[in-house]
Amino acid sequence: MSSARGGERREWVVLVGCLVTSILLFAFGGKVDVGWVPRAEVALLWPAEETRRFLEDLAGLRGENEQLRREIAHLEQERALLLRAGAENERLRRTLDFAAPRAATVRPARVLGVFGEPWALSYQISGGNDRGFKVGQAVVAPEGLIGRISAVGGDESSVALLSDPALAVACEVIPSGARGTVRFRAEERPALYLFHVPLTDTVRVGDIVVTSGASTLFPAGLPVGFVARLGRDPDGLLQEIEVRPAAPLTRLREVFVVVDTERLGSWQLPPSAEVHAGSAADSAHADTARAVVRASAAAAAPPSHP
Amino acid sequence: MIKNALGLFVVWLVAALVVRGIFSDLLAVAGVRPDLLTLVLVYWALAAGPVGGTLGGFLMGLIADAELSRGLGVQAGLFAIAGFGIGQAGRHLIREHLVLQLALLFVGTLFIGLGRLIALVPHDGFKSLLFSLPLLLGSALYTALLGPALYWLLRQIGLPDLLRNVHAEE
Repeated sequence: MSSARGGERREWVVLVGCLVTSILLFAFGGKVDVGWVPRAEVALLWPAEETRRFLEDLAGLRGENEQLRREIAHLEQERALLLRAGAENERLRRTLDFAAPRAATVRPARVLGVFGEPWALSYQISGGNDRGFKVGQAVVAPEGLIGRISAVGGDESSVALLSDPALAVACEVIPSGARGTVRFRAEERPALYLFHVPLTDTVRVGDIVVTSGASTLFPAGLPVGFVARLGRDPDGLLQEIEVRPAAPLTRLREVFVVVDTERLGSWQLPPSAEVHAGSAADSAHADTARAVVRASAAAAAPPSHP
Repeated sequence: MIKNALGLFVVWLVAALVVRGIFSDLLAVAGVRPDLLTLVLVYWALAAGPVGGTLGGFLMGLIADAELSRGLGVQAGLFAIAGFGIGQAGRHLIREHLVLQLALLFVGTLFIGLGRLIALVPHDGFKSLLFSLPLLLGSALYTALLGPALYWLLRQIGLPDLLRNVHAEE
């Protein structure tokens, strides 16, 4: 009983002691430096705080990573669209460059389909009688000749490509002037060949092959291809020269139909065609092409009288 | 036994300070935060009795005063009184009863909060008191609900009943 009372007394003594201390601290504790308590708390919390920050950063990084992934996907899509637009822009620019300096009248047409197996033999293009297209008219691209119209419908036409073995084009080699006929041969080594070139004519790999003035269907000087390999016919009497087409026959999307056959003259090679020819073969091709242009211009110019 | 009880008190106190310092934002509900120091004080006082509750409360109050860096001794006194009262209640009532814990937490938080408001908030009439009262009531309710919930949860996951096993005075 007494111990219980003693216990109770002790409890009250503790309480009163605490309260008295509190009052004394309140009254006179203004000068007591207790700043170390918050500092100690900060030190105590530091590991946990760092852990929390790390976890928050981690969660933030995951979110940021997710957002960046979405942005990358979006940018990839935009990039693909821009590349496509850029390619289209380049193609159309070359088309414009091509159409501008020409002497003959050409009309653009869109390639609707490519036919032929195992290599492309013909195009189906937009435009037919409605646009004045006729069978036999030359079809060209900025890089050079690609074929001629083989059939005409109301609003569509068929184009026999250079790769059609039935199509033959009278050509000459620049700068030697060697003449022959370009035709596709499917046997043995399928490719374009320049036939009927005498052995005495000098032809080198890389020379440009253009349409000759002997042709009544195509303008003279129109690039057809480049000499890719030299050879002889089975009899050994004439040369058989393998020619690589100047125009990418299977990749064109727009072509031009030469409709003004009466005004056929020397073909003016557009600047972009030079560039393309250079990239397709080598810079010697472009030089040769420029030489063709200069020669054609000189031939077309009236003689000067001192 | 006393050493064990003191060790336990330090663990509880540190846990409360860490949780309050680190996860305070996570615990906030509509701007209302639980008073974790009071929560620890209530359970400590229930476990340790009036003397332990008074001393523990006094120490906690000193820490709270030091954090506030003004009115040194005010919260120490408030916490000491609350610890004494809760220790007395725990001696005569069933400490393990969740409703009792809820009531003690609510009253204890309200008492300390009101005392803190009256003593430490700048005196501009009852304006600031009326303004802070809803927040204080919310905090008291939050603390009162959180305490029993934690106690029940810790019991459910198999931890020993601290209120039965720790008696600093016995």
